Amino acid sequence: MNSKKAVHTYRRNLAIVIGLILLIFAMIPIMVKSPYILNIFVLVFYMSTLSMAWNLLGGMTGQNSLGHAAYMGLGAYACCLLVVKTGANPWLAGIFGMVVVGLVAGIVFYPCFILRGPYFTLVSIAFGESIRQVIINSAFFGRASGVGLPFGSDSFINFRFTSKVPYYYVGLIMMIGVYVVMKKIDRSKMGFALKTIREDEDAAAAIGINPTRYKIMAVVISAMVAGLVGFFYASYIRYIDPELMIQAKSTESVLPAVVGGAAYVEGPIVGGLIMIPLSEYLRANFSSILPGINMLMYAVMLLLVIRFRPTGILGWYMNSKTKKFVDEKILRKPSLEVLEEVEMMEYRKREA
Amino acid sequence: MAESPIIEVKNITKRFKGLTAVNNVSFSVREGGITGMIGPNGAGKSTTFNMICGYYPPTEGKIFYKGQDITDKKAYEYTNMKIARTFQIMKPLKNLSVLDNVVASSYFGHAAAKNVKEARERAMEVLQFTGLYEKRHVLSKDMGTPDQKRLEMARALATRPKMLFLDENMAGLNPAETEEAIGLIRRINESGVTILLIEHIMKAVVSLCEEVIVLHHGEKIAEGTPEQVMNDPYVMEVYLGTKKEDTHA
Amino acid sequence: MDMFLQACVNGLLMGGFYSLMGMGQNIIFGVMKIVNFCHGEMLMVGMYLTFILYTFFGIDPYLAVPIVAVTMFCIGSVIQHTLITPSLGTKSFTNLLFLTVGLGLLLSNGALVIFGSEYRSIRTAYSQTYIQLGPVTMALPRLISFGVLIVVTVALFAFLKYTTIGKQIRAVSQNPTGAEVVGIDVKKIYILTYGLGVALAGTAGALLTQFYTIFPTAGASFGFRALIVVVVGGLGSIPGAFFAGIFLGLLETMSALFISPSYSDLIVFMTFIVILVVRQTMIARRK
Repeated sequence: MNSKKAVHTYRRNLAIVIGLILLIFAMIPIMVKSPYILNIFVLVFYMSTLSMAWNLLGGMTGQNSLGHAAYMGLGAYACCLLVVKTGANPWLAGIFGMVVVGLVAGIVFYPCFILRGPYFTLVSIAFGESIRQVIINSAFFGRASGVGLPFGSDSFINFRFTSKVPYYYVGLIMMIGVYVVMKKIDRSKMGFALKTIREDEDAAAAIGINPTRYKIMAVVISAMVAGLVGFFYASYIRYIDPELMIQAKSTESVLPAVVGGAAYVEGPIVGGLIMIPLSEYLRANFSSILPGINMLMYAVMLLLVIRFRPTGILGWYMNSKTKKFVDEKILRKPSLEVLEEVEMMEYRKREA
Repeated sequence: MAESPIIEVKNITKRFKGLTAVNNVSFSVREGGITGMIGPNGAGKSTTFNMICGYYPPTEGKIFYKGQDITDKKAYEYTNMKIARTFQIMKPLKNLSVLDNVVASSYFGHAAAKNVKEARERAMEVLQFTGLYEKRHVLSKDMGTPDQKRLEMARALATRPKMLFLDENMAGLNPAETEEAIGLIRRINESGVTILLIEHIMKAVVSLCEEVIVLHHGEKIAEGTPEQVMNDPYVMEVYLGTKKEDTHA
Repeated sequence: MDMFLQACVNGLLMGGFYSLMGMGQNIIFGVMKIVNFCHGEMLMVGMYLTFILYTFFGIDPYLAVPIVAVTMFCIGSVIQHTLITPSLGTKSFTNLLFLTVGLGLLLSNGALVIFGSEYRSIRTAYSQTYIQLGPVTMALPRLISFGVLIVVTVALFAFLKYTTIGKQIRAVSQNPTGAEVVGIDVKKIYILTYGLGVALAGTAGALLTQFYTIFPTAGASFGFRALIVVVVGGLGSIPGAFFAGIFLGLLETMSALFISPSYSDLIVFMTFIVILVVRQTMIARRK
């Protein structure tokens, strides 16, 4: 019974800490009025979400895609074109965009999953470039000049605001929503299947996992989330062009995950919160003197993390004294054995 | 009760680009027993295993499981038929804890766990059974060979198989560890699992198996109880190399 | 017909560069089993090095080739020793991939910081000299570059085939553990290999300077084409890489001629995907 109490205290403390963090994020637009700062937060939200989409495929399944900017761009194009050509509601167009991206990714990658390791990465690059080339060459997609969304008065139905505050909240909700979905997947049957595939495909087959099926599921979900980010991006910037899908953007979308820790669902968010404000600060203050300095910093950070902390910032934290301190003093986390014992007790009680 | 074999292999042959790894091999495995497969290195034992377990199809021949033709089944379909295997070169999920390794298996197969808790419960049971319970939070890449071999078995068992293929599960173990492994295999068998194992350690084969199949150069050269096989002059010659040195070199 | 011949020659001359890039990538992939995603950026560094040598020291771009090659070799060796070799130990494919991707970002943005985004070019006395050969016109620098490419290819082939170090490189690419057992210093071979691969990319860059503009992202398209060459030409095969490069150059000019110049990139990428998927499927079937 005592151990149950300890677990209860721990869960309560954890809930309080998470609640506090959420409250801080919810309060930021009330305290901070600068559109510049709010813009950075919006950037953090959608880049972290895109990075989480990559992380499902790259970090969890071990399929290193370098084409996520193309999925995002495709989502953005699908939703923009639907709005511009038919006058559809942007929210519905967003869903349409996600479905289109999911379908395209699933169909295109079905034959490509025979490829392993670097070959998959190469195909994802070639695939992303192909989509961009199709768009540049097609009048339907507006060629290189891109597509703009109609401007007008603020309205929630049309997802159109002059202030950055509504975008802040929608972006925050999107990031948290995707995080919750990813966390669920991570703990579910599918999550274990994906992690087994990452470690060894033959071992996965030996315990009854159909590798192709799960990889397709991962690629479709990952592409759909990227399409969602595309929808958000298009509604926020209100103008899209094929530059959105260049190779460098795909690489950029991976960095938060790798720097934060690709093995963790939280990795992209941690990486995004660190990298994007830093990058934006450098861009704002130095890009007139030294263009490219923010990307240079990105590159240096990436190399340093890979060279000295190969498991990312979260991987480093997980084995650090700071985590021990946080666990013991703030959360009062009981030992793993106690946590498990209580979990089993609850399970048996429910069964009985 | 009619003695119908659980696994029946009929005339399987496997050629890799002109090299015949397995040539016209037939045998059957009795339900409920432990059958051993022995032979020198390169005799085609692992190839035979991989064919039975669906990793690649035989060039010729058929494989039956409980009378049903499973020759063309894919590797991942086996778990649902209550068949599990281990690998000679261990394939632990290196970056996951021992517990998560087994939880992953519990989610799949004919009796797949429906939620996290059920899967964890099952995993705990299997870990206790295989004696890995104390190490459940260790990352599997940080364990030694004996524990990794056990983890291989634990992962196979978590899918609740009725038929288990063990590929050299005792290679690289010291005598005490071998003794423990023999005990574990016997317990698995007593819980109602039919076992086919590849083994190099003679002592283990003799003490565990009721039937032994001997492969040499991809062909079956003998079959019978361990005593019969051990006393077969041809087996003595090729496998133990007592008569002449390097007769097959 | 004249247009067709001209396109053939142009494709051939361009394909030579893809071959050279592909051979560098091929050696690196063959030996270390990692994809060098900053190969194009190495070509760009070679271009800027040639540019510096020409503008500040007045060295002719072709005389600069050996200097560039040696400098690039040193740069490659240092990168291998300080960054890649330590990360090879972690056996994490993701990390190795993003290590080279990060290097590429570092180099292209480093160039942007140092040289700015302006397009630069080198114009020598003979840059605008053309040679008429029947119906076909060729710029003299392109022709010289192609000649140098052929020499480098043959030299590389002979180096790998007949010298002791070349044999050691081939041994390591077959089986690193086995090579170590027979006394080959595998780490040294890794350094040599990466240096050599990067030097080849730098050489290609130096040879390109007279008819290609120099800017920080100039290498990107060459980098990816080098990968295509490796995959299409077959891993570890120097002649394969050579012919695949030529094939790629021809494919580009032919699709520009017969379909549309704006679709040539798309056709290259699609062909690549199809070749890759079909070939891997066939390999899987054979197993």
